[in-house]
Amino acid sequence: MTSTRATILGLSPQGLQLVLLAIGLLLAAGWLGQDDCSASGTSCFGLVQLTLNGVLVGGVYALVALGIVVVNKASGVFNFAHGYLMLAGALIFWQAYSATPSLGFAALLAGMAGFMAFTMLGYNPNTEDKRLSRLGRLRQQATHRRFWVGVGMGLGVALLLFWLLRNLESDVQFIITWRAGILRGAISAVIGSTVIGLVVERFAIRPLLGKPLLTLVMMTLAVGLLIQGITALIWGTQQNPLPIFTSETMTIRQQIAPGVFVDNTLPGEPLPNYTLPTRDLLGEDLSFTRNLVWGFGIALLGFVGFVAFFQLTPLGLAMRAAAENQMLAQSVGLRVRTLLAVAWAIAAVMAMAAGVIQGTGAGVGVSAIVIPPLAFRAFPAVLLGGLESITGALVGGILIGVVEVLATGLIDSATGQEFAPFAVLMVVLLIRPDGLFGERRVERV
Amino acid sequence: MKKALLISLVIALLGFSSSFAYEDSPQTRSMPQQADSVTWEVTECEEDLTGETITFYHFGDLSGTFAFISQPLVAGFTDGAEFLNETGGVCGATVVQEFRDTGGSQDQAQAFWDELSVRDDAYSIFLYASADGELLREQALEQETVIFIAAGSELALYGEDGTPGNMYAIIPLYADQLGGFCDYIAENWASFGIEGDPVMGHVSWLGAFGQSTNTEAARAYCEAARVGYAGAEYYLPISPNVSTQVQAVVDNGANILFTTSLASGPAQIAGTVETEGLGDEVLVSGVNWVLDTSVIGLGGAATNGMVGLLPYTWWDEFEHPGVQVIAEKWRVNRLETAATPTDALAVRNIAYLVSFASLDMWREAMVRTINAVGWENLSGAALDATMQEFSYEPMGGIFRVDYTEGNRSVSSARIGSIQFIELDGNITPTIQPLTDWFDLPDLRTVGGADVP
Repeated sequence: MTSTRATILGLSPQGLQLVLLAIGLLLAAGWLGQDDCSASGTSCFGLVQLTLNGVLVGGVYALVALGIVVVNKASGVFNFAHGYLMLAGALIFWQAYSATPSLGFAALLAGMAGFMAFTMLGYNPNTEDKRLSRLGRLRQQATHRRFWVGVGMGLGVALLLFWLLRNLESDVQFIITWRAGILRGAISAVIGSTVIGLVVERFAIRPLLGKPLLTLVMMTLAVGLLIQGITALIWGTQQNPLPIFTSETMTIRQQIAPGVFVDNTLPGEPLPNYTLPTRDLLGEDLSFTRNLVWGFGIALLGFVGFVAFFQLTPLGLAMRAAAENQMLAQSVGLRVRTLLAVAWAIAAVMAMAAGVIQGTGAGVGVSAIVIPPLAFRAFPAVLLGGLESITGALVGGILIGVVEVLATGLIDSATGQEFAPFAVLMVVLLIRPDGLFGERRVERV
Repeated sequence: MKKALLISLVIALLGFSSSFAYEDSPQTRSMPQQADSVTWEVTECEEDLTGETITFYHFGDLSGTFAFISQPLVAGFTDGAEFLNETGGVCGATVVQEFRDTGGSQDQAQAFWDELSVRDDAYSIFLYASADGELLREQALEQETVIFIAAGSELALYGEDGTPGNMYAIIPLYADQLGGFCDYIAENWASFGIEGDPVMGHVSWLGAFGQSTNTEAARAYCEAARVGYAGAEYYLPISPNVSTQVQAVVDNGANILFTTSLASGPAQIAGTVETEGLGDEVLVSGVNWVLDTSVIGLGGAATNGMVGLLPYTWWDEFEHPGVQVIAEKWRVNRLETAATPTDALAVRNIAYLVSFASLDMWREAMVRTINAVGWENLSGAALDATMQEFSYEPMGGIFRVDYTEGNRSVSSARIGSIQFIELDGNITPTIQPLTDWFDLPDLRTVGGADVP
């Protein structure tokens, strides 16, 4: 029998959070109370700026980590394909962002969304007669009113999305101005990523359920390489600019021969960082990189959403139950396969969000060199926080980000980029092998 | 079976959707007729090899993380080989190319070397990466196979003891580039209108490539040229934010940021400088990879004004016969067949230009070797003997090589700048030379002639 004990160094996760918060506040107060905040002569402003930069960078790691944790929480699989899910999602976003999707692309995405709506709303597997053929089962479903409601809803969703993708060319005013490209990209990428997540689960993960964990992990590695190959075939290998937070776009005409031009779109003048008026307190205003602020916001939203989902919704509770004991969950009527599929779909959407945020950095763009390796960079955050903890993913990501940026700013780049995050991870794991918020499993014979 | 069908269906759908992801066809107008023949000085063949075949071997990372730079290299070699064959091949022999994708793996590089280097006709192999060059340096010497390389690693070219090997780079050593840049800054700093004496801070990619420029010899050379030093900061290509690194060297007094990185690397620094509001206070600059359309494509307007080493004649120098040939091949083979103009423009960069011209250099070297020893006696050792005395301007001067006196890299360059200019009412990004060609200092760690 397996039971869990959710205490850390004798503290509950909530207790530990309070301790961490108190330490952070004490450090901040200490810095602010001095003219010179460190032996190296770094100013108080510099330290606060570095720390907050670290928090924002950590937000990106947290966003990546959340997706990895969701899959791990639902199926116990450490997903090495996560980086490539990030890349695929970001590329779909980029394609729909940079130009109005073609008829075929829009029809494909809208059709997928419509089909998903139909299966969710119109298809009730509980009423299936397993003895019938697939066609027979479909006929049987068609005798229910719900089936036709689902067909209608599916068609409606497909038509609406198709119209939106093809006609959304002007910005939309709703509280703020939503750029048409961003809306098109978001709609396309959410649909595309969901489908990719479902396909990966159905064809790569589900057939291996019950097999040794190592087999599943190896499969995620293979899936990653497959996605990398498919994205290279479809989108090529070039780096694609995605300046949605850091600048407007500008249309240029590239001269390719005297008097011969080819139209192209480039990132325009970069927008200045967001600033916080702290001149009176710190001597200078704090400034924050735009895409990182958005990334942090999305990570926080994801965190709140996941906590609510896993704590409050029947689906989230069912997923937790299935993760704890699949056999037991199945015996009480939970559809474990469906729950797994949902987890992979959610993870793929989270991956897409992380990929997009990474690609939107000034001058970064969407490509295989800057996106998939970020997932490997976020692994310390996942391990630090605890493989199955949503809170751990957030805290782990932020801690790794702060350690990395502070070490870079106060010591040197090599220490910050290559040593400090892993050193902290090692120390934490030596003391707490399951991570800060991981659940220590006690095997009772 | 059903699963296989379903997977095939999904892949086919993805391919289908991407094939007409955009409806606009490339917006091209008819181009003026360009040169399509050899109009520059080449060595005449003394033998007629019509009916023979010569293989150009090359391998690099086409499916790994550096695919974005390798793809245009391969495209340049493909179109360059086509041009060679259209203009007589190598003494009439048809040029075919054989490529292997290492995926960025050193194990794969070693495996391909083992496979290719033992072939009787593997007189030379072209490599893309410094790391592959360092791996294969000694083996190439042992095997007597000439290696051409599109990277500037001192260790690969000269080894630890400074001995020239049989590896020939088609770009300058990065330390030499930095020295040449410091010479330029020393003479022209006032023209940039930035306050204070010039002080340089390095912000480059973490790793052998990024850290290869900032050598002790190069630093000493720059300080002798009165360009101060404000330290070096490094970052990983995946770093979500480089403001910490940029701010650190600026806080140390840097008003010049010099980067050894490519594509997103320089673009990220240029973007960060602008978003941090430092645009008027610092000059963003770097090695040859900085002046590239890939950097402009990612950084956009923020790259306007970036300065760097330009060891090539650039695409925008339309009157140059070599550029005309390359531009025409690119138009026919890339622009007219691309799904979007953006796809074609992604290939119109440094890598395509240099690999195309490198094939002309390879042809010249082969012709000189065949003239010297005869087709029957052609070997890697004979080719290496030619290379040791080899001086040439591929395609009329796309770049300039002089491998005599133990030199193993390009040693002349210009300084150039990215400039967004208005032409016929259109804003168009260009790369403009700011100087004439000049000799770069020799700043090799061991035996560098110009090390102070």
